[in-house]
Amino acid sequence: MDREILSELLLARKYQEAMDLVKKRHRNLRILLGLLYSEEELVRWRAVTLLGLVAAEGRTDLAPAVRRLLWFLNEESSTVGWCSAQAIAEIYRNNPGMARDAIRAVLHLSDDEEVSLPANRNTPILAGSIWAIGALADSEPALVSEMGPALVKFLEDPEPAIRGFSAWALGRMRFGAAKKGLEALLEDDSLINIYEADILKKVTIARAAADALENIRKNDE
Amino acid sequence: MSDTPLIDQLETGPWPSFIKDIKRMAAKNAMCKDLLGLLEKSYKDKRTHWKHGGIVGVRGYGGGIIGRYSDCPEEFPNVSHFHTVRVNQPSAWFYNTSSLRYLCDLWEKHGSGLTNMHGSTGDMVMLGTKTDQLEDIFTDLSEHGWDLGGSGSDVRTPSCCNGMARCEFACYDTMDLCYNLTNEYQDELHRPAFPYKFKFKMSGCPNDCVASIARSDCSIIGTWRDDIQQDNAAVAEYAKGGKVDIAKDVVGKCPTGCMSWDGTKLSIDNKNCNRCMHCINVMPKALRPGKDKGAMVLLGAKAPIVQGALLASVLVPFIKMEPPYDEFKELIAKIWEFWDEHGENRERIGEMIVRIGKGNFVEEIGLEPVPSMIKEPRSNPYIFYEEYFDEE
Repeated sequence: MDREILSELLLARKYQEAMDLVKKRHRNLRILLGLLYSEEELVRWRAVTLLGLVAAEGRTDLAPAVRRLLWFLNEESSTVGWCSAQAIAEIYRNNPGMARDAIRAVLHLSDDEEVSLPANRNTPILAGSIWAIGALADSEPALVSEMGPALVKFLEDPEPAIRGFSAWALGRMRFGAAKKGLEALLEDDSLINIYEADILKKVTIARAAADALENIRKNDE
Repeated sequence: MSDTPLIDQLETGPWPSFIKDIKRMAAKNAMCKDLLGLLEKSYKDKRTHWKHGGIVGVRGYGGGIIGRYSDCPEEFPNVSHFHTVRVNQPSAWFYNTSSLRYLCDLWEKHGSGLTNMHGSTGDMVMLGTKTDQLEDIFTDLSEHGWDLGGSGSDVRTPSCCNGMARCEFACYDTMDLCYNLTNEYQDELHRPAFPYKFKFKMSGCPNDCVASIARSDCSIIGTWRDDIQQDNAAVAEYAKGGKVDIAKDVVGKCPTGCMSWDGTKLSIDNKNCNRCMHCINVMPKALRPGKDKGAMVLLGAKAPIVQGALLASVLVPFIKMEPPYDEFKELIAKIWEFWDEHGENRERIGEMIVRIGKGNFVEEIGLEPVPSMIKEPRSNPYIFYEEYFDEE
């Protein structure tokens, strides 16, 4: 029951009420973590946002959950942390101390052989790691800048989500060396869903690349 | 000469051979053909050619698929992926033949055709498929009323003995409880959020035919709290029949010595019976579990990974186990609440209890300590010393 209520609150962007529900008992924090697997994409993303807000309040029982989320990205007994990377990034963005040990591992999934090689990749998890890089670009430029070259390579990836998320993240990083790769995407009509500022937007990769180039151009000025 | 001389040797022993099964499927399935090649290579190189784990799954679920990749995809492209799908088995593994045909057909269509009926978790284990087949498999299974089982840090697929369906010793309806818990804990089963795995296994009587005491974090074993039902005429029949030597085979093997036999009358000191089931198993027509039936709840068994193997120990010596099982579910909620908050990453509940002490655990979940919780003679870890210290 609480799962449905929490989902509804997230869809309605009633974050304060959702926070109150999560505060009510520890089990609801577990339910919130469970929503990271929701069939509904927007619920998954909003659960990511809410975890960030919970982190900002400094709730202590979230710290073990961060370790758990990290573990779910490389579980030997087969949990798939579909949104773990995004959740850890959002927790870090709101409360760096709570996810300091985990964040580098999340960002470096993008150059991890097991995750990134086409032969054995998990596209949603790789895309989640790329989103995490983009999401931290403003607040932690030094932390994410070393991931630029890996993302530039992904601009040629056969999978739209990987190309598109990389274009979006590189734009947020204002990564000048990505210009050529981004220009090559300006006629790419593949659609991707990007979650930014609480909104899930459907955009073409061409649009994401153009926006990224614009960000880089402004930065150069 | 055979292409697989080393694994061919595995067919020569007295037991049924999995190689023979794979060869049979290899005639019509390219995955099985490459699987034989990969296994031969492993025997030749004296090391596995499966990589460690892999992250795959279906959307909406965090578990149920176990990723497997080979480290030589160019040489054996048909087993470059060889993922396992766990399918939630029906309670007590009752199938009709059309279900089994459906599952086998599904697996020949989308996978290797090889199955493991059943894995030690209890699930049906469908061996070997590729990532791009997973969503289709999941959709097909769902449309036919099946569901994936658990994997990773979630509630694993609950499993039970066949209880009241076939066994006169069952002290509660294991199949109903298994079905009920499976439905009640769908979120916990499919969306991993625990420190590590949590297994429920249910046995209808202390014979514990699913070995729940050794294989589950929460073992629910049927028991009774009144006297063993005794049919003295049937006892006399056993004595007269001569196949059972009551003094030697029954009374002589009672672990607590709570029985006596004077040649005509069997006496049982029920207060000292520890429900070992031996006498009932030997003379099932004469002795039966009591009438006031329920279950005991034990906690903490696990195989060795982080720490050594543990057997479960008693948490609740007797609980009525009747639908809707609210009392039991309230207990589980308290246990999970505490483990979820205080368990370390990859720490099974039994390991956490060892770490913090059962006394503390029992106190935290609000249970009164009782002598049945004592794990072994002359060890009493459940004495609470607060009052002693308070007096000082």
